[in-house]
Amino acid sequence: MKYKAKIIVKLKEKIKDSKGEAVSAVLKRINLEDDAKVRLGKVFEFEISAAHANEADVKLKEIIDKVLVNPVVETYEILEFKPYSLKEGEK
Amino acid sequence: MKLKAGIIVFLGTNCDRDTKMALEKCGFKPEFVFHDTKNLEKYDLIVLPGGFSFGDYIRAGRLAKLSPAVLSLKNFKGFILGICNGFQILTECGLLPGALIENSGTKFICQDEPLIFNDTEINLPIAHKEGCFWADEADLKLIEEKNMAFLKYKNNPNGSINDIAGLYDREKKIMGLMPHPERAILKECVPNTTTDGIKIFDFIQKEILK
Repeated sequence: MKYKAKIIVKLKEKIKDSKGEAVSAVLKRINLEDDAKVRLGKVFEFEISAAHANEADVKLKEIIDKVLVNPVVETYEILEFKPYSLKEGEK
Repeated sequence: MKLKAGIIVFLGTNCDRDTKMALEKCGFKPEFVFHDTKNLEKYDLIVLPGGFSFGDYIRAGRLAKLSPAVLSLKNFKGFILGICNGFQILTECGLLPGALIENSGTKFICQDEPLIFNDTEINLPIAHKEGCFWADEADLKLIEEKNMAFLKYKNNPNGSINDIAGLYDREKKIMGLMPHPERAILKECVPNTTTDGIKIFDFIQKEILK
């Protein structure tokens, strides 16, 4: 079975996000938003092969912990994690 | 007899040759080791040099921490030195506490920087964009209590917490720093810079021989 995952990783709230601040400053300069408090993140989309849902969960957790996230400074959110059929359009 | 040093070369490393030259000038016997090697026992010192590794995709040092050579550092008995990208790798793999995030001013900074090293002022070049050291309160307490921050910025150019530019581990066998000591060795190379990098390598030699 194939599973599709979409994960967002960003800096923890208490850590200064310099890139986000730069974007906020531009939004202010072009009079779109005075205090947008922009935070930037990274989105990862990938596929996991697993025999059943439990195995897929374990694999996903391992990928997140070992590769995608450094828990010292980052936090993550699972935006999407579901099985999918190889036939196009079929969920 | 000269101390044997292994310089790990990743895909994207670009300070490996400077580091080799610096180690030779400071009395070590260095050689390059490709990152897919696990066998590091013959070395007294392993250096993770500066530059980049695997495009620094995801975050600086993130993919390099999964290289066989870095994974085998956990059981390595000798001294470990990480310079710039090497420091980032050492924090990413958890051998040193804290993490290195984007400079507070978002800019890549490349300049000579005054630093405090063992209560004396030295000057070393820095060249980084993700050099702002960050650690949570518990780690900071440990760092200060155990005197692990051996190198501090005098003017803190990148927003590092507690001005930290370089760090030991608890056992003082692993050392990471953002400045580049290997670029401050030869007076004739950069006439306006110092040769204070020698002090860092001499210090490491003394630590190994202790």
